Amino acid sequence: MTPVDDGERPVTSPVLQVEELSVQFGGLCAVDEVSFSVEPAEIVGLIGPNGAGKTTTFNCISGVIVPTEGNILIQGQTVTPFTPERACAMGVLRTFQNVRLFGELSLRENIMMGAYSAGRCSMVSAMLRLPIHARLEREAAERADHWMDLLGLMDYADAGATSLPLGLQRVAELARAMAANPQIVLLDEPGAGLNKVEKERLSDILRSIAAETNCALLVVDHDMGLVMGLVERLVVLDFGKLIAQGVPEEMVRHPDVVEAYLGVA
Amino acid sequence: MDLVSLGQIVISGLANGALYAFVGLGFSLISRSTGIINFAQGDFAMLGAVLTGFLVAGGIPLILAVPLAVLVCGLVGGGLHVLAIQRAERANMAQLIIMTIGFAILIQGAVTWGWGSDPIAIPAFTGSAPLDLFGVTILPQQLWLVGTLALVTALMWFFFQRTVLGLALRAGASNPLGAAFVGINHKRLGAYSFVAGGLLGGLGGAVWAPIAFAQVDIGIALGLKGFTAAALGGFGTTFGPIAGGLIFGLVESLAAGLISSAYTDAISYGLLLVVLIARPQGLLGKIKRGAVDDHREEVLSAGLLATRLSRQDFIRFSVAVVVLLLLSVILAASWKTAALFAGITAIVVIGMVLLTGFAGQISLGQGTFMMVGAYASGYLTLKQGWPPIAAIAFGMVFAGLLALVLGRFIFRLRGYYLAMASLSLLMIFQTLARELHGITGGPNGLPGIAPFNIFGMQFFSDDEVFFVILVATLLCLIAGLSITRSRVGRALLAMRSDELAARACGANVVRLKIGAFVFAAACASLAGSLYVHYLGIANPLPFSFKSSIEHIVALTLGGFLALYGSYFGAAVVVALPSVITTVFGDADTQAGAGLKFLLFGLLVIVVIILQSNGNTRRGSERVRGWLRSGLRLKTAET
Ligand SMILES: Nc1ncnc2c1ncn2[C@@H]1O[C@H](COP(=O)(O)OP(=O)(O)OP(=O)(O)O)[C@@H](O)[C@H]1O
Ligand SMILES: [Mg+2]
Repeated sequence: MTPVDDGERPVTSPVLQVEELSVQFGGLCAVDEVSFSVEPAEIVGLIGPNGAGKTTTFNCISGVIVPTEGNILIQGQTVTPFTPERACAMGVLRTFQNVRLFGELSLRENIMMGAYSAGRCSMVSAMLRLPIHARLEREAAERADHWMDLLGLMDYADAGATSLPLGLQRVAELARAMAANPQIVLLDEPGAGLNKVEKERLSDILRSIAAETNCALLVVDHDMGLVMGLVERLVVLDFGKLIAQGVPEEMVRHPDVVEAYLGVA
Repeated sequence: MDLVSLGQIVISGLANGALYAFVGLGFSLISRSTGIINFAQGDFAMLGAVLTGFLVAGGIPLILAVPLAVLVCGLVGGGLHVLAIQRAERANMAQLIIMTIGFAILIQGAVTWGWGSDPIAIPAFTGSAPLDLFGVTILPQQLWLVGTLALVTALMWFFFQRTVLGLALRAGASNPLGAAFVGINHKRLGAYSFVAGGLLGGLGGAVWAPIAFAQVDIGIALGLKGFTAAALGGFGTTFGPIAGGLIFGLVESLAAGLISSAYTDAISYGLLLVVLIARPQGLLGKIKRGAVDDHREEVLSAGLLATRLSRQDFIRFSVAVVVLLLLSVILAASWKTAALFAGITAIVVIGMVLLTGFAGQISLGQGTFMMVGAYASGYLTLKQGWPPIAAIAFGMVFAGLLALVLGRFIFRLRGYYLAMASLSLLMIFQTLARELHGITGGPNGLPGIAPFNIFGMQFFSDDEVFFVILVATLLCLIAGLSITRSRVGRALLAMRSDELAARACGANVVRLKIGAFVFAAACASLAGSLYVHYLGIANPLPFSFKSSIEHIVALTLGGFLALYGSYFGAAVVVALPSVITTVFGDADTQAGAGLKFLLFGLLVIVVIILQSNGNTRRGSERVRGWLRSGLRLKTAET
């Protein structure tokens, strides 16, 4: 596939490269020399049984934890120190396995927070309401409206974010990430806790995002139906090790993958 | 300096260090098992000392008085946990820590109320004839203190290494779930640790008291120094505080003996600041690398007034201003003065709403920044002939820069280091103000500061000053509202709700916290300037730790998030002494002052319990309200 050139970034380099990533928690090796990459606008699934190290991998890619070994390249670049705010600035956004919306903000404000990285505005310029503040607020409001409209959240704009049903909260978290105009979004179990209808809607949304915005998606989920119907490529982890990667159809027949999931060869 | 004097310094340093070690042990025990920095820890030691003195004075033999006093301290510790902390189950860490500040105020108030604040002499356990060791004199009581510490250390080691309960407690400290497996619930673990904190503090205080005097004022200093001991040794270690306490006692004693005894406090609190900034994990502790920090901070609740600021706030506030203006015309002179001081306090509290309510950081030393403003106004107008408005602006900028520098170091760390750092900064500034006679005029201060004037207008009478303060309060309030309703205010709220998620949205939380701190510092400086222009004199006394207590109480009463509640909280704090005078007689006596702090402490504790329970009710109401409106939407559609 040929990714769309947005005019600013080199087209050819993968948006995310993970090189020999290892994370050690005490004696436990939660992630063990894992390497894979994600191309622009690609939808990649990261799967594996419970405790395989998926969330830990996400935490490294989004700057939440410092890996014991290995490199993470965003658009071909490494950043040190790699913190969550740096990750966001580089266009890496994420959702959380346990939804983490801001309980004290309304839904609209949550999504506007997603556009916080659109520009810097000091506390003084905010207090004095300098033009930069108005410009950034307008921008944030536009992006929030755009994504709420697209993801069908308009009706709940003014509700307290954490008072919404879980399904809507997951969509809202996605909208918040998208409002940052990301290069890649990491979705940690976006389907967990959703019913069948909601899941179908979610995969439609994700597909249209990848198609229309040139944003790559890295999806973790335990619902194989959801993952298989969505992703172009799968990366399979087990006990922290990468055991296979490739197109979904091959992966379901891959002996190591079958063993990891069923416990027998 | 000869060897004998040096030996003398070392001996007294080690003896004081042993006391700090006792307090530090309590800090680390409680913090390890509950995560709380217990501000009343120094006051447990003070209580142990004062109680022993009181019991001995009442004719009870020393051999009974000491264990009795220690036991009472343990009971007080456990009682505070059971009666207060366990009732505020939904409170978040910042609220719980503010609650322990309430404990400290409560204990200090109760002691002052009951026994006054005069020093009490206590006989030594085994005679006061000093022993002589190569010319160095050692008091038998100093040996008692160090010996008791050694015994306690050995007992604690045995308990934690060799008994099942001790091992379980250690497991519980690092892992509440693990503790649940061995049958210890979190509540009981917390209560045990508070009992232990009380016993340790009380024992240290009771054994130390004969060396010096038992006095209520030592509580704060002991708390800070014990905290330093724990910080030096590392909060995460069981025995680190002992080493930390002894090292700190030695350094303090050497600094006093070799450099200058006038600056002892400044040097020892400076050391605390350096430790917090340079080695927050302590000299002996290790920094954990790569650990996921996935604890969601729960949300500070709103206080007595509403959480979110809406358009109605402006209306409410305008009404309040009109009422105030009317009151200022009608009110008697003494109430007018109270309204004036309430305005000054409210300005400080508006800054703290941003700092504590929105940025989730506790400062116990806004008095520092008030002093910056006070002395900037005093010195620059008196000695340099600056116009007041320029001096005020200079003070605000200077205070802001000071906050910026401190914040850059402190906010890199997670946790509540600002509380201790700001308090030690206050202690340093108090010492400097008393000692730097050339600039500050020493303890007597700078008298003869002219009233505020601008564009040739003088503001001299109470009514005129009230007008100035009202305008200043309004300006701060508008600035505060403007920030909280901006995208920066949204980011602050987001950070409060979930720091990690806010960072993942690109919010630089360190910058946000620094910004709030700088704003709070500038507000406090403005308040300090207005204060001295009104009273005509700048001296250190009004900005001592007692002022910090009033700020915290006013903030808690007014609500952590309600800017317009600041004036309400401040008014209660300022009016309470008058109420006490009316009801109980004179508030200016020791007993009256004690009663005031006792009530302040109770108020803080009760309000936080109410807030933390109100939180849940409000949350469930919100859900129900949403469900109802959701249903209504559906019925409207069909
Ligand atoms: N902070 C931590 N400290 C110690 N061990 C951890 C930590 N975080 C995760 N682990 C361990 O690392 C391993 C991988 O955890 P991770 O959360 O990445 O798994 P996962 O693939 O996301 O599983 P799930 O599908 O259940 O979400 C697990 O064994 C887990 O217990
Ligand atoms: Mg996971």
